[in-house]
Amino acid sequence: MNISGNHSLSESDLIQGSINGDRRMQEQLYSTYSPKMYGVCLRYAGNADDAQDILQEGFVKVFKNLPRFRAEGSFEGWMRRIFVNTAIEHYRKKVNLQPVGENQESTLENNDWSALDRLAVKDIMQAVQELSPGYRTVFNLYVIEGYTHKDIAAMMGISEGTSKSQLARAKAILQNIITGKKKGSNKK
Amino acid sequence: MEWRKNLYQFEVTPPANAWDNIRAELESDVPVIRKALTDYAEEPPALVWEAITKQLDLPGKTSVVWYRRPAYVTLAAASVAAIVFLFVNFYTGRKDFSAADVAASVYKPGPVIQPAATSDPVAVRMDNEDENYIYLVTKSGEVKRVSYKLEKMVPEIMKQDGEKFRKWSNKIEASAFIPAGNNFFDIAEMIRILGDEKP
Repeated sequence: MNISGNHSLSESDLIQGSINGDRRMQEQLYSTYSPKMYGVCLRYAGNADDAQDILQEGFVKVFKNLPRFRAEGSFEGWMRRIFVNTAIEHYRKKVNLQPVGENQESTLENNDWSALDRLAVKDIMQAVQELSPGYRTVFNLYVIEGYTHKDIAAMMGISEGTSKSQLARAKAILQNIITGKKKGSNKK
Repeated sequence: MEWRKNLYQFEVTPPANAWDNIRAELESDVPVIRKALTDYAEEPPALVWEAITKQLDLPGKTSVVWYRRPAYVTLAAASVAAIVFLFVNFYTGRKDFSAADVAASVYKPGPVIQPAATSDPVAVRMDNEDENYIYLVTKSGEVKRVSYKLEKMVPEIMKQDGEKFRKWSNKIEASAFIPAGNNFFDIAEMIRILGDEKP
């Protein structure tokens, strides 16, 4: 088996080697998936320092729980869930959930998101990071990961209504941030 | 919406030191029980041996020996012995033990398996330079190094079911833990492996 050359190592080789405690295999597994997982961390974190904390905590959990992984689904999907859960846990204490009025919620639910298609992914990412932890988490879970409000309520220990209101508020703030960015760029 | 997909797939290479931090945490995160077993450099309690021999279907106990413990490890030894006792019984499926049995495993020495008779198919010799290990020389001339702590049970195992022992030995060599002459981790691993093989 060629460890330095990646071509002969399959995903299952890396997983089994990592379970056996082989540091080189673990590092290879890390190298393979860390850019994707760091992207997840950055999306849930407000800054790079927090993202690195989540990345570290998430990978330690991954390596510890590898023997529990059943190759019935996607390994990347399994890892991603661990990182999302780690991020949620990381911000659980910091999240400040703010109530939103019904009128405001119904108005915001109809926001048009097509404007985002015209922005670079880095700009969207930056805008998402500017959201407060509560809004950002619900936005990520619902809009990006595709969880339902029922799932989010269970994951975060909140009601479905609160999840909906947080998302609505997140959309509004995000819209304002993006509008501000557009105005800023137009002035230039 | 394309931006959702782009955001979902967003990739960034982490800082160069991120892996070093993770590796350091993995290396420092030695399970408490493993550390306790490593630090505890004593013979295992008698009932641990009894449970192991029961697991391996070896002949019953044949004699009684007494272990001496340094005073400063008594407290730690008691804790570790109790944990090991419960651990072994969990894997061997023994449920009919009481609190008194746990106490006995901690405070009272008991029976252990004696070395096999002279007709044993393996020769056992001690290496004076490394008292943590013994070397087994099989009839075919193959030399195997095992922990000194296994001295009392190795001949019986080899006589009873040499293939089973060799299989375990091979698995131990490929396992993640670090075998040492002064801990029980390989014994626990053996029990775990044998437990896994049960239908």
